[in-house]
Amino acid sequence: MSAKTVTRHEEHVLLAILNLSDNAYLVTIQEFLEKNAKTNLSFGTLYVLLKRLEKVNYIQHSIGEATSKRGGKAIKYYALTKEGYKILREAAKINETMWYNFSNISF
Amino acid sequence: MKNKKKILFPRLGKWLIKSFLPFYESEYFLNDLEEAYLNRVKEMGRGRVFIWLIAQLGFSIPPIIIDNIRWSLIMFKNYLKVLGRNIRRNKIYSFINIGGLAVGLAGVILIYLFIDYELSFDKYHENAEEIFFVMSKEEHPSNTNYTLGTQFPFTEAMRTDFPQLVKIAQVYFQEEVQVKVGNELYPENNIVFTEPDYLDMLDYKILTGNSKETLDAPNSIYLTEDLAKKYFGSKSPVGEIITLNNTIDMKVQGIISTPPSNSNIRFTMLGSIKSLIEDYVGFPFNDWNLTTTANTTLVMLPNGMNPVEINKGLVPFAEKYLSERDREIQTYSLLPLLDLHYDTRFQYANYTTSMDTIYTFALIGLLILAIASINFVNLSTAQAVKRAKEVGVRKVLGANRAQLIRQYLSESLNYTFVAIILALIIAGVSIGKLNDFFGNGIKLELFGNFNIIIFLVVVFFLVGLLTGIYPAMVLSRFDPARTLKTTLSSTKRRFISLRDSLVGIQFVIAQALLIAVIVIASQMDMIKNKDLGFNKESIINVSLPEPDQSKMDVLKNKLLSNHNIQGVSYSLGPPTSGAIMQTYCSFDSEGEQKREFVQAIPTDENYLNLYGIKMLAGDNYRRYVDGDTLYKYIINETMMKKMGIIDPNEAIGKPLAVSRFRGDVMGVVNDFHLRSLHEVIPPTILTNFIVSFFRTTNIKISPHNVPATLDFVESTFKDVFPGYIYDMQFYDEFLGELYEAEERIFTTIQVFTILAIIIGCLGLFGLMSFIAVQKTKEIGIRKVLGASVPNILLHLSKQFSKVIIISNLIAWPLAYYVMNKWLENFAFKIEIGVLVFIIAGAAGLLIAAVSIGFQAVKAAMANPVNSLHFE
Repeated sequence: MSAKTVTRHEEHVLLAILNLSDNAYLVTIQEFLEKNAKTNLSFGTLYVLLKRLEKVNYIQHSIGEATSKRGGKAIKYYALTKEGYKILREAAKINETMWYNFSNISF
Repeated sequence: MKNKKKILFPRLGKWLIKSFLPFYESEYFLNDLEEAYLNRVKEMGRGRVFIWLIAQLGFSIPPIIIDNIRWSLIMFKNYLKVLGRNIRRNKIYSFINIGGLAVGLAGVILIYLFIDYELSFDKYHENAEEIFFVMSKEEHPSNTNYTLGTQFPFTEAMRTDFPQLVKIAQVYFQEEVQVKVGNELYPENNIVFTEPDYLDMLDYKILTGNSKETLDAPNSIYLTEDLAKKYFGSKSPVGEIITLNNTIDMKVQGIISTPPSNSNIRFTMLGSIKSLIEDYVGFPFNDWNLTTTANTTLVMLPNGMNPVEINKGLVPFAEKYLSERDREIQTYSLLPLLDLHYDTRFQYANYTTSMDTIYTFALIGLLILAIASINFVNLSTAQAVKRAKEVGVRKVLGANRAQLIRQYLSESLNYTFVAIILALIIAGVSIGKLNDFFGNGIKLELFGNFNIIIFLVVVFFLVGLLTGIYPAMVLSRFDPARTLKTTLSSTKRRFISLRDSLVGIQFVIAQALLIAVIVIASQMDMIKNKDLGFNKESIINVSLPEPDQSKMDVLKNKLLSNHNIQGVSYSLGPPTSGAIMQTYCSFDSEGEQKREFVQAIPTDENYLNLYGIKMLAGDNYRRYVDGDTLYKYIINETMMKKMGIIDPNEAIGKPLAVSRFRGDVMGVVNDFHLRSLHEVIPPTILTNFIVSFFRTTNIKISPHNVPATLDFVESTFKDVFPGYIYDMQFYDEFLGELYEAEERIFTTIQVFTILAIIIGCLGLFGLMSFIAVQKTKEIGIRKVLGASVPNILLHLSKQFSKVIIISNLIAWPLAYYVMNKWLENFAFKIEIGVLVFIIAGAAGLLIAAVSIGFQAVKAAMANPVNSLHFE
């Protein structure tokens, strides 16, 4: 996997983490993607995707404090790294240029 | 709430996730999943959410597993890279290490395949464990005879007297048969006549044609595929007629599956037992006095029944049917089908492998494995010194001992892995050659069954861990402070270090194997060249289809008209052929009537002359004329001694009765060999009156213009016996075949043994070169201080010489004991003399000297200037 580009799935995952800010972990990311991107990824697929993104240093994880919310069980949170922001910005730019003419075309 | 969750979580999914994710990761993962599950319970309801959960797990586990495999592959790639680097850095050691191990493992794999094949005989029959042959034991005063043969009426009698048997079948086996299809004649081997029960017991299937019940009717036969194709091409053989030995017509009922090569009950054709007629088999059917090895009885016991119960029943059974005389000497018992292949007492279907042979192969395999593994250990520990710095650095950087051990273990596992791959390639290449060499239908396949995989995995871990553990312990023990500060010289010298004792073990093995090879070779040589008591050159044997006196005379006269044919004689068989009759003879000895179990050879009057068997006293008999009632016998020396006579001249004219034929001794001949040299020469009597048993034409030809003579013999034979197959063999070739199977086994053993020795030498060579490098400085200093080259050579080889001498002292008695045991198999054997040990010892020293010497000389000759500024 090249470090320069990300697949569409990965882009979505990164965006989900961005949007969820402090509250990004497996459950919320999956819900977010289901609601906004209409994709239904399984936990396992999502987990592997996150692991890969972490490996190329686009995201990082932290273990949350144990709260009463889940019966005292800790949560593994994900957050974007600097590189993660950068790659998203690049992706946005690419998207922008690619979509630029879309509004001018009529069907 | 919590309790419910636990029950609802599918255990398998949980377990899978736990086993594929690191511990904490799996906790987070499962917690997240649980949360999502709880969120959904409210909106979806318990039933649907459970399905959702299953689906989640089902879709989650594959990507996690795939991810896992991907990473381990990446790690594996890395291991291989590191391994490749190591190999490149130390070419010689790595070559010796991996090459030696690979060649050794290839040998071990081949040996394993051979053993696996040998042990698989007849195991594939579903009911194999319940199937037994009836064997009979005959106890004679001088020897005990075992045979699988039963009397012709035996099976029927057993069927009525033992209703508890599930299945029972009479099996008549004929090794050679002549088949006539239309006008064509074909010589074939291995035809079985039997009953429908046979196919119920053994896993042979009728592929096409009529059902097995036709085996109950006379003149029915099934052909194996190959034969059907050979006789009838692609058209259906069902309903065709074939003729056996010009005597019985058989109607082909169908095609039957070909028995696999790992079966001792093989056949090419399966006929019904009711097809047999007395004229065809050559003996009366309803005779309880006649046991022939061709006729056997196969039974199947009810599941779980102890064969001893049947054996007990066979005692009164024998009493009921056998004659008074036979009752005394003959006992019946059951022999498991699964034991047949390993029981050398029977040599059934001529293919037997004794368990001793199998154990020998297993032992050699183990020894090869040991030698190759010792190489590996020695070379790794020798290299340890080189890697001491690496260990020091790793330890300083925080590696603990367990980690280092793990690293070196995984390294040796990697080496083993590469060696196994190479070994598989080597084995794959050589397996075809081995199969050709064995012949006899042996077909070893590299991946013939799943066992080889298990075997390889076991070998992989066994060799990988065993060879890795010691170097790993040594390496990981190094003290970082010392290894980093000083250049580490080898550790303290004990009187005999572990390395020396390992080298010693190798030498003991190599030395013992060397002695074994020499002993085997000289014994086989002796067997082939021993004077058998008769002449075997320039004699051909042609089968005699019918012992018809007038035709025999015609053939003989026609043959003798050719001046290149020097003699013609008829007999049951040539001297060492097993074609002999076993019977009783009675005689008077010191006023007492005595009985002796003897071998009788029906021959004519030209036999002794043709084979050059030496007459000690008396005269050759004259030609037997029908109606003569005074029978003349020629006996051998052993027989004479049995009669209590010492001087051959005294024996002449002594009365003697073979079976019920009274006659007297006409002459005494030198002892000549009747069987292989495994057996002693039995008391033997030659008779000339049993013309009906003549089966062979023995022809002595002159060595000139042999092809023309052979053509002449063939055309003459066809003139006299039209409609019969001409079957000719040179007698010396036939004798050679007697030991062929044995020789093949021993050649194989020798090859593997030499392989073991070579691998051992390789290890020694590597070790020596390493020590020489290590001692470069020491040698340099010694030379500067005035040591000569021989001095240094002596110094370098002193350590090994001690080991070699000690291991020789251990190996000699060991080899002597084992080889003497082996020689006990032969009635005629060589003596293991001192010479064998001297030769083996010298060869061992030479091998050691060559493998050590090269490096030692190189080190000793090196210019001290170069060696001293080394490092």
